Amino acid sequence: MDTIIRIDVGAAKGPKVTKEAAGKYAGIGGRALTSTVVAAEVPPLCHALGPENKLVIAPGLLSGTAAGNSGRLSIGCKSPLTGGIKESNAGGQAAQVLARLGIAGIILEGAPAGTPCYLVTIDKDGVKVADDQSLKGLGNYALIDVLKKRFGEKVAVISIGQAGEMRLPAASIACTDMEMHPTRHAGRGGVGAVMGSKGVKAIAINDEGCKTREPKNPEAFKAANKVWIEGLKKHPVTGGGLPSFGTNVLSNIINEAGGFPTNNFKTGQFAGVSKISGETCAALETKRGGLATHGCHRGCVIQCSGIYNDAEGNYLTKQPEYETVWAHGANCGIDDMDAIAMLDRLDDDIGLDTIEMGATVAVAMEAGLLKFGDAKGAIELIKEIGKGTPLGRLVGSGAGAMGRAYGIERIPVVKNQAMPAYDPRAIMGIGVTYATTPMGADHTAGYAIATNILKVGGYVDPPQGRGPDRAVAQPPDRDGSHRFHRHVPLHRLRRPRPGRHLPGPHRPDQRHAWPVPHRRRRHRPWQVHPQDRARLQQGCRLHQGRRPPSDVDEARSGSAAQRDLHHRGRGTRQSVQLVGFLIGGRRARS
Amino acid sequence: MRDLEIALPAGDPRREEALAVLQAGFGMEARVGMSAREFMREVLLFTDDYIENVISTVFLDDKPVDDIDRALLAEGSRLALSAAMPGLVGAIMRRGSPYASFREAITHRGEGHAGADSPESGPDKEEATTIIVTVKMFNSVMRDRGPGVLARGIVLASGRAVELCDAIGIDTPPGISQGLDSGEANLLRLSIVVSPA
Repeated sequence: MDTIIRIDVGAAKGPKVTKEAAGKYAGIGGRALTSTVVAAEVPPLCHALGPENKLVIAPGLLSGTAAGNSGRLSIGCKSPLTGGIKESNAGGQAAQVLARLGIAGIILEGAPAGTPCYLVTIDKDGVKVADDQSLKGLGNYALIDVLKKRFGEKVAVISIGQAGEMRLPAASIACTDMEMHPTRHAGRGGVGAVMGSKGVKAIAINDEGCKTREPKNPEAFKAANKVWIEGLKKHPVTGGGLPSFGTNVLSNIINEAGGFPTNNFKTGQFAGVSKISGETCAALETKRGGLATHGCHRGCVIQCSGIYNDAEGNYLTKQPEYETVWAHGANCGIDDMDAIAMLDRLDDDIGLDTIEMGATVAVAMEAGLLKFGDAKGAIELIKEIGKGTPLGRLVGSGAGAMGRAYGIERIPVVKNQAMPAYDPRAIMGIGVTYATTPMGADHTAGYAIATNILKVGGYVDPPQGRGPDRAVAQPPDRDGSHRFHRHVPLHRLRRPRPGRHLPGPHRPDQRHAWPVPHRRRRHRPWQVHPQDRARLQQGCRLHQGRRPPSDVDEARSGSAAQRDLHHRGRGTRQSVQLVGFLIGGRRARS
Repeated sequence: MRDLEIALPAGDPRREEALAVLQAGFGMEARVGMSAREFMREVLLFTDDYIENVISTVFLDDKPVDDIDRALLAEGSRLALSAAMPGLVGAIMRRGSPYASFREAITHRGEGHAGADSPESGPDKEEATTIIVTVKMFNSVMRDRGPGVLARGIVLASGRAVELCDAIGIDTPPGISQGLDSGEANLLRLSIVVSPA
């Protein structure tokens, strides 16, 4: 896996394909590769839909090998939604197939003349790019039906729907799963719009004649892979909760914690959660002849997906994921599982980020465009996008655009990207990720964990008052509401003098809870400078927080904590070892 | 409180559907002031091994619990039980999680109800008081231990018992209807027993 394919769609004589050695990008894959290429080659001030932006597609380093769960595909570019660097990723077959062809990455660059509709085909014989106008305007499902007839059912396809063609900021990129359904999406940040701006409708990849990648030290790799797979199967999450109930197993407990945003983040608990939970969904799938346990790519050990059939027992969509069920369910006040599954199907077909769409529909409900709980109205609203109507284009532009168009004050976005399914008022630590990642509200960044727990790149001890949750934990307003701030420049944060409270709308009964006690003066938390308060209040304001911040708890540890730490540390070391065996045959340092 | 029993034949798929009532919440009788661990051990009949190794996520009154010995039950308490959950937030919510500081604002701090903490409430008084708490069982806990709990009986309001019967497609037992007809907002102890194969 040492080849990078560049496709310059703006070349004078039509798309120019260049194969080059990985060179300075050798030894990295997936998210590391896509982000490194974007950081190195994309001017930060360029227009996200212009010729200077690049779309980078890369499988993980272990993709194409026999390593368990090595089928993740990363896609990076400058985001048309946030205006910053973006990494979005997906499951499906594409990563494995690309890697078996020896391809470390595909880079789409330049801007096409006119309005082409390119179909890129990649196999062991090379890369071809052809303008195929017959594919224009097709949804992902219809597109795959066409490509299936041409290439058979063993190819993997990366594609965009109508939303990507229209370059809408909420457009996703679809990857086909094992049944060749376009159900696995790199959803966030409008990566589909960037693919559309390059005029590329689909990339069909065929690895026929290629073999599984062989490690340089097969015995060591095999042994490490065995431990890795056994670990996944034994763990109560990857071997129990996820395969049995899917990622939507989270709904009940996040709801219980008051962190399940409901009705456009108005409250943190949804009365109808048991009707849309992972437990309910799995039972329904089984009853209708679908599958509650299913993988989205070959070699998946966890199998957290499923097959969702409609009431007549016909395939409708894959098992809707937690974020989708929350976004189109609780956040829109919808407790009808079939309606949520239909919305998931439409998002997949038109090529849309389900998180962004759920948030956008909820903002539209807040604006009075339709009522909370109106499942039929929500379905019609999403269909508008596929039709390309003016309203549809507005919806496909995301929650921020919808809120601005309708003059909504409270829009749950950070850097214009919709917040995912974890309310930071209840789980403040996740708010750190939303606030600090350059990618906007993104629940997958979360690198605070690395330094807090795994001690990667340094160590910050959360209970010592320097933890990242202190950075965003703000006192509630007089009415008990909380504010969440975006674009908080770190240089404008300051440490308060010991014993002094910053002026602000504290509630008197919480004076002792904020800031930290004097005895921690050496580790005083960062706070927002008063001069920034007014500007920050222009950011996203959310109301009706269920819980005010309370006293600092004592540092706690225990046997469960130690076990968790041990498992995670060991898992990371095992992954590092797998990479080591693959690329060098040596045991990586642990 | 009246007792009602629904018997299902072995292998009846309706038993799986009946489990759904456990995630929405049901009543169980408990002793005032007993801890979450005591409740799981003595009322739900979970083994210590199961409590330690499987029940890794516990909520009391919507607050994630780290110490199940300090989480005390009171009349109307809501106790939710789950296995380990995925993702960063799933890890944050676990008992004794190293990431617990991420949710410290909502963590259950072991504060009991007023009765349990007050000096006049001695052990004898607590033992003499029976309360009803709302229990929710999620994911594998519901699947593994739900049938046993259903067989021993759960406390439901008459209206919800009727809804349950409708949902799983069985005729409403006369006992429930009688309660409704009389206009009583009464509770009943419903058990769903699966006949041995």
